[in-house]
This record gives sequence, C-alpha cells and structure tokens, in this order.
Amino acid sequence: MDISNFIEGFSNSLSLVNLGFGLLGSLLGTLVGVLPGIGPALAISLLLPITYTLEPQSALIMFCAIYYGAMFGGSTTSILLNAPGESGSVMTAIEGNKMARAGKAGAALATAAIGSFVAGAIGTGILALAAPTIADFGLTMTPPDFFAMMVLAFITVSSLMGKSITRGLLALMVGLVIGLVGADPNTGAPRLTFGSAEALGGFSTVVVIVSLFAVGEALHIAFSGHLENGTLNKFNGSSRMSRSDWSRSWRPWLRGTAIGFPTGVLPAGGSELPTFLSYALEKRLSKKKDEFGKGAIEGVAGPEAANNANAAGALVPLLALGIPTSGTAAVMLAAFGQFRIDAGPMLFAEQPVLVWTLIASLFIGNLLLLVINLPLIKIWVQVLRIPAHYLFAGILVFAMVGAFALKNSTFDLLVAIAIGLLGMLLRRFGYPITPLILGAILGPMAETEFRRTMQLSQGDASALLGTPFTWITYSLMAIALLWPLIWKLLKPKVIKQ
Amino acid sequence: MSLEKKRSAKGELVFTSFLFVAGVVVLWDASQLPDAMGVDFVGTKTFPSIIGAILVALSLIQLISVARGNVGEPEGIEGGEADSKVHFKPLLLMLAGLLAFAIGLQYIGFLLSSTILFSLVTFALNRKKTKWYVIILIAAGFSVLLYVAFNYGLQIKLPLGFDFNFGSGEVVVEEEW
Repeated sequence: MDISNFIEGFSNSLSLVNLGFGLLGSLLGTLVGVLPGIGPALAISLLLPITYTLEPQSALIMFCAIYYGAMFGGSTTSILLNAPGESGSVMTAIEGNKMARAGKAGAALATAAIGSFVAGAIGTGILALAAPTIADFGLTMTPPDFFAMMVLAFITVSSLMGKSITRGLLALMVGLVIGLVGADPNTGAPRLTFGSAEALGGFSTVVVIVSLFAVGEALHIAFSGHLENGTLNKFNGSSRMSRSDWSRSWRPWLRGTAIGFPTGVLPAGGSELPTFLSYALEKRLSKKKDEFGKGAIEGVAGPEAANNANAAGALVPLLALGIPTSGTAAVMLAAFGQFRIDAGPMLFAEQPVLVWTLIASLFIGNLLLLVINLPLIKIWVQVLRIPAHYLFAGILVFAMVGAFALKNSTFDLLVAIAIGLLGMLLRRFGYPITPLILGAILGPMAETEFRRTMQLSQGDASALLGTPFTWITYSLMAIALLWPLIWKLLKPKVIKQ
Repeated sequence: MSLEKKRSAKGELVFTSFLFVAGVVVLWDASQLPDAMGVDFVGTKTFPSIIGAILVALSLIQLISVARGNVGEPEGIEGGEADSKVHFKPLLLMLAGLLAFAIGLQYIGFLLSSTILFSLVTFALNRKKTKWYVIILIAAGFSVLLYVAFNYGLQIKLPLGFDFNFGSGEVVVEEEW
C-alpha cells in the first residue's frame, strides 16, 4: 500500500468541500435507500448531470457515499414498512418486519445500522489493502485477459440475475446492440445509424441508463400495477440493542461480511445473491431455528452486513480493473467515463491522490452514515409518507432533464423514450435489466479489447485463449453457465441428507 | 392455460419476434459495412456480426420456449403492487407526457413542458384522484424549483422557450464524451 498517497488522500478527504459532498452523498444515499422503487443505480444515474459542472473528486466521493448510503437506508424501509427499500434488503424485510411487529423495531434498526457499519469498515479496509495489489496484477494483464474478464462478467451476471438464463443473455445482447450504435471505433463506418447524423456519436450512457431505470420503471408501474403507500409499523424512536441482541448479532455481522465482500468482487450481479446466502446461512447455523420467520435478529444482522460488504467488494474490480460487477458499479464506471478518467489498473498509477481520497472518504462516509442513520430515523420515516406518484413524477422530469442537458438535444429525449419503452417491455416479460446495462456500458470496451487481441495476433482467433488466465476465466464461466444443471444433479443428494 | 396467460404469451411472442428481427437487422447492417481488412485484422463486420448472430440464435430458442408455455413473469413493483390486468390508459397518459416534454422543450420551454409531464405522470399513477388544480400547482412549483436549481446551482441552462430564433442565445455546447 502506498502510504504517502494514502495519507495525502486522507487529509484531502477531510477538506471541507469533500466532507460536504460525502455528507450530501450519505444523506441522498440513505434517502434513495429508504424510498421504495429507487435504488442506488437510478439515483447515481439521475445525478450524472452534475458531472458536467462538478470536480471529479467531489462527484465521485458523493457517488460512492450514495452507494454505501443506499445499503444503510434500505433496511429502514424493510423493517418499518413491509416493503424492501431496495433489492438488497428483501431478506431483511422477512425478519425485520416481524421484529418490528413484535415491538422490537429499535433493536432491528440498530443491528442493521451497526452491522452495516462494521461490514462497511471491514470491507473498505480490505479494499484499501487489496485494490492496489490487484491493480498491479491488472497492469500485467493482456488484451485477451481483459476480454475474458469482460465476457465472464457478461455471462455470470446474465445467468445469475433473473429467472431464466436465455432471458438474461437476451437482455445482455440487447445491451450490446445498443452499445454498437454509432461510428465504428477504428474506421468510423456508421453502424445501425440508418442515416441519422445524430446517432453517429452513439447513444450516451447517461441517456441509456436514465431511460432504462427511470422511464422504464415508471412505465412498467403505470402499465402493470399501481402504487401504494404501505402501512408503517409502530416505532417509539429509540433504537437500542440489549446485551443478548449484541451477543446474537456480532457473529452474523462478521459472517455476512465474509459472504458479501467476495460476492461483490466476483461478477455476481449485485446484492440479491449475498443477502440471500447470508440469510440461508444464519438460518442453518441458528440454534433457535423456529424463530426464523417470526423475527430472528440474526436474519437482519447477517444480510444487512452482507449487502454493505458487497458494495465495498464491488468497488475492488471497479477501481482496480475497470470491470463493474453490478448495475450500480456499471453506472459508477460511466461516471468515471464522464470525467474521462479510466477506472482500471492505470488509475492507481495515474490518479493516486484521487483514488486514495475516494477510499479515505469511504471510511469517513461509513462513519457519517452510522452517526446520521440512527438518530435521524424519525425523519427518514417521514419521507415514506410522500405520496409515491409525486415521487415518480419528479423522477421522470429529473430523468428527462438529465437526458437533455448532456447535448441539449431533442433526439436524445426521443431515444430516452424509446429505450424507456423497451425497458418497460423487458420488465413486463421478466427480463432482468442489469445485464443490459452491463452490455451497453462494457460492450464497447470489450470490443476494443477484442480488436486489440486480434490485432496483436494478426487475426488469429486462437489468441483469445492464449494465456493461462483466459483458461481459468473461461472455465469459471462454463461453471456459472452450467450451474443450474450441476445443481439439479446435486440437489437430490443434498435434500436426502 | 387461463385467458390472461394466453394473452400475455401472445404479447411475449410478439416481443421475442421483435428481438429476432432486431438481430436480423444487426446482421444485415453489419453486412453493409465496408470491409477494411487492410488496416484492421478484424474488419468492421466481425464484432457486429457475432452479436447479431447470437441475438438471432437466442431469440429463436426463446421463441420456441415461449411458444411451449414458458411465459415470463412480470417484474415485481417496488412500492406498489402488480395487477392481473394491464392498464393502457395510464401508460398512454405517461407516454403523452414524455413526448410532450421531448417535443415541447424547444418551443414552449422547460417550465411549461415540465409542468405538463409532471401533471400527466401524476394523473397516470394517482388512483385516489387528487383535485386536478392541486396537482398542476405542485407540478408548476416543482418545475420552477428544478429550473432554479439547474440554472443557478449547476449552471446548466434549460431552454425557456418562445425563442423562435434558433441558433442563438442560450445554447450550451457540452463536449461529447
């Protein structure tokens, strides 16, 4: 670890401006975590227009704080309202809501917040230690290695998200097609532009993301369902844990961290999988299995730690290799792109101060979140009383302004509506959105690595399998693809036991 | 198979066919690209052709699978509930709002088009039916607030409209990236 840069980063992150943006991000992150229907990926993409005016450091600090904050805030909604605030808190909703109904809302909120803090602190610590080493390794990676990594990310995210692999892969292909539109990177030949000069520059990432998440989601709600402000559980305002709550919580926190971090580093597509795994593990290890489903504190502590550790873990491949492993990380990669900063191995060499300031800000943000989260819960609860239709109306206006402000172009707005409609149809027919985002953002980068590989090998396609690293990566991919089959073969045995 | 399920299978068949057609279009477009093997070992056609081919193959598999009854389950709705029936009226209201915003922005300006979009989305999603003038007041207030925030806070100039002398005035040229 680079001590001098780390110290410089830390003192940098303590500057008033950076602290301010860290605090703002923490508050915004908690807010979007609390509000159902808005996740960190949408929040950051809605805020991408600020990258037109803000300094890279401040904006990126804020985005990271939003990512962490959303993981903190999601638990509040899960516990107090029987609806998860974001997808990583679905598991929390099961036990947390039962605890709240039994009058133990305070303990549930406390174990979620403290568990999130513990996991965030440990996760950020490992990030600080591991990322530079991985970045050093990244510097030795060749184009076929990078291409293999990206293909692995594509395939695992597509097969792990959603209910069927074909749908996941199809969503990915649609994303890749969106990434194709525009001039060919080497020759400038127009691809899929159909004579439109405005399409020649390709679809802006901001437009694609904002329309898929905001416009697509709103159209989906209007078409297939309706909004409902749920009923709030009673909460007396004090969030304390008893001695037995502490003794039942600390092990799940650590186990949740141990599950959440590695699944964040690997392309597992976000926080659903680790929170589910953590919940299942706690249930299995618990001595009071009958309490599960009726308000077991372990079922809140584990998953909440897991989703925060997952966010920290996702930052490792993002910063060190430039490879996003979740939807939110993909949006963050787009934010780096806005500043023309290449996330990846060169980041630590070229922008050491920026990167260490960012990591130091994560530590501070994590602490800020713990401090603002528990005492302010009463205020967050009020936020849940805002009628949801006004919320979505506001989000849509915000999204359209964001899409327009990039180039002041009406064409971009029409693209946003079209892609939003596509997003609605995908949701309607059960296609996951994350693979599409990944395909649209990472696709052009994968193409570059593909072309570099072929260039270096003078057109010999076997170069794609030219290094041991590529073999390992493609083997992992095969396992991920065949996993349902393997699982089917193993399942009868596991159940018999 | 219930009637409702049949209908959604029909919709999904149409959608999957659309993906298939999109794949064919990608392949056709790739075939139209000039070959530049001299400069580039890969050529311009290779990458788009691979993507087009996979899209065609996958959508064919999916078409067969949907036709055999593997109908997709709609994504759940966070902060609300899914209904068994689909609603065309709210959908069209919302789309109308979005189109009005996209086209109106240049002509009638941000404040008016944003008020229209906000109001129509609220009408589309609001089942309790708040009084219409309350909604429009809130929409107008929100639009003014957002305009001020963007104009002064972020220094992003949004069009005020009614400026039919295009090409001059408040056009901020942002660098493409």
